Amino acid sequence: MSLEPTSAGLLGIHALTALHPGAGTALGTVDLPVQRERHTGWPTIAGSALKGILRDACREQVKTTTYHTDELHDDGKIKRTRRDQANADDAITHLFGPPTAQSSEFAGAVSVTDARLLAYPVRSLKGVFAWITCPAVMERFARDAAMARLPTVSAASLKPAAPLTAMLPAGCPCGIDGKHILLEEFKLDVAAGDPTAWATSVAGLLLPTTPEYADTVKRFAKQLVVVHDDDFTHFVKYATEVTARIGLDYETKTVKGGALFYQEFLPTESLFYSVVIVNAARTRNSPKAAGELMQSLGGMVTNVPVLQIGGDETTGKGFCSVRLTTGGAK
Amino acid sequence: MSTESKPTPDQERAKHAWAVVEFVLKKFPPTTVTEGGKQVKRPDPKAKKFGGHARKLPVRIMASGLGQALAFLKAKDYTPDLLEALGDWVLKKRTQTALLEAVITGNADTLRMHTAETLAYLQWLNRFCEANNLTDDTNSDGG
Repeated sequence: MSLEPTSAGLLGIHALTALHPGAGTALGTVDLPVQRERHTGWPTIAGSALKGILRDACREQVKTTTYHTDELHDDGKIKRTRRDQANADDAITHLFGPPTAQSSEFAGAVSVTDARLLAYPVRSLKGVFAWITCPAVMERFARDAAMARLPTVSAASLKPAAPLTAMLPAGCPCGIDGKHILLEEFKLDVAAGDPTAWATSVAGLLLPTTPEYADTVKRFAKQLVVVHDDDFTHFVKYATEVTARIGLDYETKTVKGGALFYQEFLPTESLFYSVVIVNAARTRNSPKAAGELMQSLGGMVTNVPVLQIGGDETTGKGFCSVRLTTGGAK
Repeated sequence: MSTESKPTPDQERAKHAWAVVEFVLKKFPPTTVTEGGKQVKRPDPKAKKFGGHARKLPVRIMASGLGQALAFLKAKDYTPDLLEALGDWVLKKRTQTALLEAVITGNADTLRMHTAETLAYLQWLNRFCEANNLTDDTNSDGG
């Protein structure tokens, strides 16, 4: 039995503004926490959210280019809006599946995994901030990149042996006299090991290639710091942005009784990735091949370099650069 | 060897927090007043202060660290019972400065452990305080 060829790639997600992929309300210290993986406690963005956002971004493009008027009944009432029509277009349904009412007809061809945190920005005494990562994250990235059929630089030599040690790229501005780095209130000893090659390759896969991003790509390669798994886990749990939000009484300009809640955000510069797998179209008639569908998806994603992900869009949260890099064909 | 299952750490926290709130209610009992023909229980101001500061403590810890948050409470002397309760739960030492001293003299690992444990414990303490109406009426950050 031959396997239908699939196409795969990595979707890089780089937070341009603070991000709140919410997990609903909670009873803990923070009323509105972000989503976290159960077994690691690391922040994540649900694949279901990402798929919906991608569908919407693609559908708006199809709507703008192809559907210029609402479809009307004979009596003039709206039968299908422009968006409904775009939602039923092959360009959208082959990738993401039919509209809800017809969802039992076939499944979409695209699979989007939960976004995984790759690099997390932490305040540094020198150099303003460092992106931190750790061996556990890098190991998983190697597996995921292999799934996406993209090459990675080996991270075998980048494993800090003990907590409170770190490996810095050569010439990293966060280093203090070459021996220490101060992240938030923690002093880490610099250990031998240079993540420059790894960081450069990752930036090359996940960050945009536009001119305005060139400096960020360079900075990432210089300020990506590898810390111990436990230190990484500590920072992504306790070094998030927790904002107090209030409601004011309009007349007195003081806080309304009970109108105080705490919301958690992931900071600007957080870098996530998701694995995107595209199969051949699952329609019964003349199914398109995976490669062709991936190209179509890639083309549409290129047209929307910034997507809004998570909550609080109207207060400027969740704007992310996205980039889809396709891996080798199977 | 006993075959009975043991309580979870979270159950133990709840049990301790419950006992602490009972203690506070006994030390500063509520007063019963008549309002509109009905008997209404009004919490004692000192008990409300206990609950009010317990409520604010988790965010103070997240914003300034466990050491600063505890030192602030000790300096202002708003509610000694809260500091004693934390010392008793986290370290089994029921003094006002036990936990603060442990933070000052400890290392990064003990700081993280004590912070995580204090935050987990405060969730229960705050829930029971709220249940007994031991909340501060003002929204300000002062005493």
